[in-house]
Order: sequence, then C-alpha cells, then structure tokens
Amino acid sequence: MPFAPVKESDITRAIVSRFASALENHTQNDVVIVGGGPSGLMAARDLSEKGLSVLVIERNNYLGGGFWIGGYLMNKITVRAPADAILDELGIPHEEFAPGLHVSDGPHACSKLISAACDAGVEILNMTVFDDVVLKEGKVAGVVVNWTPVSSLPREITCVDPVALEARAVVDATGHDSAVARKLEERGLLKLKGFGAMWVEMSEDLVVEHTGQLHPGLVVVGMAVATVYGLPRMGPTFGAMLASGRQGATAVLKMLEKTA
Amino acid sequence: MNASDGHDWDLLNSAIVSLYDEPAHPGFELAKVAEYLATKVGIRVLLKGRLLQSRGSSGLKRSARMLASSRIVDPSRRAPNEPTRGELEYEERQLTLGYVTPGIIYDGLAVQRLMLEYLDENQRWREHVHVAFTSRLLATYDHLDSRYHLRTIVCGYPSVVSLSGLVEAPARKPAFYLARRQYLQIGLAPAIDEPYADDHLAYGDLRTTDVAVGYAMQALSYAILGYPFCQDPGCRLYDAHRQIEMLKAQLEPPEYCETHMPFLAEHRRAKQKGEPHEHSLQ
Repeated sequence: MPFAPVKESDITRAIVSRFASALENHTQNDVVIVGGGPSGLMAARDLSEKGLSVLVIERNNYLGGGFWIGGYLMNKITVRAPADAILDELGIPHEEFAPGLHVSDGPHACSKLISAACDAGVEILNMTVFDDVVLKEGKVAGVVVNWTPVSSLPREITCVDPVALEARAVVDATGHDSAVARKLEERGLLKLKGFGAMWVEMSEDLVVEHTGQLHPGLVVVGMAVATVYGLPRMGPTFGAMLASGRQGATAVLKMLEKTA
Repeated sequence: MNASDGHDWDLLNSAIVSLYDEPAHPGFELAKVAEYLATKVGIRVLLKGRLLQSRGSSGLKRSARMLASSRIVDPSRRAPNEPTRGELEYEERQLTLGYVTPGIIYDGLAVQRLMLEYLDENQRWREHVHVAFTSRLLATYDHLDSRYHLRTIVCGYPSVVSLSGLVEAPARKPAFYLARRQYLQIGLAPAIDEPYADDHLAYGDLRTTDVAVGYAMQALSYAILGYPFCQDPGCRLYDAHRQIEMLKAQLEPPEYCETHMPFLAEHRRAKQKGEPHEHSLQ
C-alpha cells in the first residue's frame, strides 16, 4: 500500500503551524521545568497529571539525561528501594539484584519515563537552552530561552535574542550545573554551597529531603539540590532522582496553593 | 581529692551518667550502653532518650538556625554557614521528626553548645555526666593544618559521640579509597563495601553498639579523670585514627590496658561494698 501523496509545503506547514501553536500555548505556563533528566521528567509527569500546564526545556536533542545508561557506559540502571515503587508505577520492568537494590534496562526505563511524561500532557521544547530567569517583584516568574545551537556558533553570526516564557513556578532540574539557581546567585539573591565532600556516604536520602522551594517561584530537584546545598556527591543510583522529582512536584503544588 | 594521683575519686563515687540518643540510628542500642556502664563501672545510669526535642515554635526555629549555621560546607573554611531557607526548613523538619540523615557535617563544638542548652538545668552539675549519641557527622577545626576533621567524639559538657562518625572519621584501608575512587570514576558507587566489610564499621553495622560503648567510656574518663584517651592501642580508651585500630581497641580482648583495667575493677568492687575507691592511676 503506497504512502499518501503529500506536498512538501504541507509537511513544512504542518511542522511550523503545530510547533508555533504549541509554543504560543506555552508562553504562559503553570510550570516550566528546566532540564529533561529523570528528576525533571518525573516532576513534569506528576504535575501534568494534576492538570497543570507544564513545559520542559531541554538543551539537548534527546531527553532523559543520564537515565539511559548506568556506570561505564553500561546501559543498566540501579534504583534503591523504596523508589522501585515508582518503577512499578511507570510500568518499568526491573529485578531485585540484592536486597533493596533493583536493576533495570536503561533504554527501557528512560523511554517509559519520557512516554509517561508525554502521555500526561507535558509539552517539551528540546534543543532549547535556558538563558536567564524572569523575575517579578523578587519572585521567579518564568525563563528566558534560546535555541541551543546559538550558543555554539560564532557570535558574529548568532546575534539572536532569546525569548521569555512566563510561569507561575519554575523547577531547576539542571543537574550539577544548577543553572537556574546560579542565575539567582549572580544577582545576589542566594548563595550556592557547591559540591559537597565525596568522603562521606548516604547522599541519596539527603537529596530527596532537601528537595523543595529554594526561592519564591523556584523549586530545585535532582542533583541540582546537591550543588545548591553542598551535599555529598553520589554515584549513579537513580532512585533519588525519581523520588526528588516527585517531591519537587509536591513542593510546586504547595507553593502554587499558597500563591493562588 | 586524692593528692597522690590528682583524681577526684569522690566524683566517681557520686557520679551519675545520663545517656541520650536520636531515634532510628540502625544498629545502635542505647540500653546496652547503659547496661555496660552500670555493670562495668558500677555507676548510676539514666536513660534519657532523645535530647534535641522540640521546645515550642521559637525554640525550634532558634535550634534549627544554630544547626544550619554550624554546617560545614568547605572543610578548609572556618566560617559560620549562612543558612538558606531550605536548610532552615530541613533542620526544622529533622528536629520535629527526631530523625537525622547522616551525610551533613556539623561543627562539633556548635552542636555541643546547642545540646548544653537542652540539658535539664537541675542536672547540670559536675558529678552528672551527660553523654549524647548522635547520628550527625561532627567535625572540629584543627589549627595545625587549618581544616576541619571528622570526629568520633567531642568531649565536653555534654560529651557527644557521633555514631556516623564511627563509620566515617577513622580512616579505612587505603585499598578501600583507591577502589572507591576507581568505582566512582566509572560511575559504579554501590556495593564497594563488600570486600572490605570486616575492615571497617558500616552504617547499620551490628557491631555499632559494642564499639560505641568504648566511646561512652572515653566520655566518662574525660569527665572523671580529666582526659578521654589512653595511649595503649589495646585499651578501649585509645583514640583510634584508623578503622582497623578502632575495631581492635573496641572489639578485641583485653578490653582495657593494665592501667585502666585494675582501676575499673577496684572501683566496681569498692562501689559494691560501699567503700571509698583507693586505687590510684600512675
């Protein structure tokens, strides 16, 4: 059976019109999540399921961050209990390798998480880099973004101004970069503690326990939490990322309730 | 005061020890420490439980601020931490729940000062020894090398024994650190403890209470004798800087050196008979 005959111009119009309408719909959002790794996607999925309009900004072409692979480029990821319950919830197959330690296929886990976020109604802008925050009366009220390639081309041919997207809440899920929080630090609004010591263990719990509102309008999740609070660095166990994303979603809901 | 050895034996005869801990530190049983002190030293022990208990909203906020300010983010910097809102909320939550997640390092002397405020005012006298076991990681600043060092015990009033410090402060075998660095570089943090499990104390280790007992004795020694440590690596009062030394001093016989063993035996015997303690330490 042959493919339907379509005009090249229709293909272009389909892409442009749908992208434009999606972008237009998300110039104002309930939540913008900066970073499409496991914590950001988890937060996005939970918030979208609550009926909020959620936009994820991802600087790479691909979503999922480091969730595709475990250590040493080996594509098995580990999750410590009780975060295995989240794997079950997302329909990600896993096995208990040792008491409390669950292992899953990275590609399967990551694609399921992305799928869960998309199915929940999350809009995604990939190849889009976070540039700055929108501040209104001292509160984070959105993000300024640009195309990712702009930052990697010579300045004389990339004098491209960014655009602003408003949001009632912004989530920093940018990993160790903690890019959103850093912008507040540049303005003297807060001070990041930087990486913590590597000579102590047990940082997974601490990451989840410190997840929450960092500044009016801003919630921090995932490994960005470790940079913000100077928590001990940890290896690639992803349970804390999923749990932190979930905790972050709860913090956003609480923050929005207060400001409603 | 016994003029021959400079120690106040009346103090030991009349001393009371209050023991405190924080809930949910796996592998640690405060009652066993109390039982040991009562039988080994023949001293009266009060089991107090949790020390940093909430004291109303303003007390809670003040304590949370003190704890958050005493966090050590950079071991080479001796300056109070400027607490963020998140840190203050975290400390408030932990104080309210009475639960401590190890991993954050606090200035041991600041935590000790805070704990002093929580001691019952009617029990703050010299013969009343207070020993608090905490899951918090404690460090004190050393002017010799201008940096903080993790501690197992911070002696004073009260003396504070860090249960997570027992895991993290004494150095492990060099091979462990080498393996951990290699594992972290390739992104494989979990399960590296296994080959070295017998060489160091771990979180939730069933040996935790037995090891902690020796640190309670060090706290008692500090309060009664004026010094916490013994130079003999085979004595439970030994200030171990390596895990292997700590486990040997705390878990392998004999329990005490030839100086401290007879001292304890004599005190216990005298106490049971209601006689004055006449044994002297040289």
